Amino acid sequence: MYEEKRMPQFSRMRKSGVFAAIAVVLVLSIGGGVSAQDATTGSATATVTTILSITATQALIFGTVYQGVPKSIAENVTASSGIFTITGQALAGISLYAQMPEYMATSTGDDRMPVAFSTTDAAYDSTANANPATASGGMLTNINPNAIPATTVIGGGGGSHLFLGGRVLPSPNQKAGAYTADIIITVSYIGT
Amino acid sequence: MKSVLDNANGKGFKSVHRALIMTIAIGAMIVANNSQVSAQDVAVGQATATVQTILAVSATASLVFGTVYQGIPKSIAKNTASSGVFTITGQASAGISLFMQLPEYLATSTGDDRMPAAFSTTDGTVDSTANVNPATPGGGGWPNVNPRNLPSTTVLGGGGGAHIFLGGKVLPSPNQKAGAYTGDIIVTVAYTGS
Repeated sequence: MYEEKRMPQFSRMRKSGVFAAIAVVLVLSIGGGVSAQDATTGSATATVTTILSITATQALIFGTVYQGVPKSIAENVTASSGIFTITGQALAGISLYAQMPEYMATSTGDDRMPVAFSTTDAAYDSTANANPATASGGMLTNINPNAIPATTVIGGGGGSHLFLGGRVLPSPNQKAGAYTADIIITVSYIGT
Repeated sequence: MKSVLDNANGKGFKSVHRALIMTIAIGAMIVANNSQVSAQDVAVGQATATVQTILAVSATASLVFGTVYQGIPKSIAKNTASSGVFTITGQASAGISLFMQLPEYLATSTGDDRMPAAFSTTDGTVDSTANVNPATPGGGGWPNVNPRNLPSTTVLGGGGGAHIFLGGKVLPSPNQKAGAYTGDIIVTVAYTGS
């Protein structure tokens, strides 16, 4: 009878030990199943510069031209020099390309008059000065409009000007009338 | 008298005899019980585990392209002061898996313009030392790695830290709208158990 009473106690102890072992196994299993991880969000940033633009502010005006008499306009004549205004990111490097006409033509195209540009017919002013006749400290003078310097930069105020002169060569029988031609200036950032 | 004494002695002897027998029996039982108790034992063992240092990743420095000109692509190498830097801390020498979710474009705050971003197969470096300067990566790391496919053998350094250095490229259009652009770079890190 004593042994009969003992048996349930031993059975309970063995059961408790088994339960504890099972509990330990479960805890270890749960702990091994969770893997640590983390995440974060960084960023990439950029500041796009002021848009680059160029406008034809004033035409190159030869004015009255006589048949057979060449006429030149310098790049530093207030009312007559061609003026192109450039705006963009201050101090940014730019490349300028001028596509110069070979002749001017009537509106009907029934006559043409040759036009020429010398290697000193342009000036570049990297200040806010828009007067070709006013030399500024940042001006590049006597430059070739067909090969504007590659080191051109926009002024500190974000603006610059290109001043242009030229020469027309009317023939002795040049047809009377108005003659025009396109001067195309392309400007682009160079990333400097 | 004799019979009385005899009777008395007989009863007394029987009592003593019974007591002796009981004692012997009880003693035998005790001996028997002691033998059964010694047939089992109890021991207390232990289960132990050491949880690793918590794994964490933080964005230490943005990938800064800075001033970008319309139409002019701009690249930032992974070893400059402008490189993106992510810092990882955790258990020393533990194996980790790294995943980077890179942006396809940067956008303005209003979302009215987007600028493509690109990342080459060598735009990443994983440095398993304490060095946090992209320009001076420590030895023993993983240089020139693909940020979209970081090495699976990455481990934290002996000091429990590592860094990811990131470069990239933006491709603005000629008429890209002026202004500030941003893009999110999401880095996920997890222990591999190795």
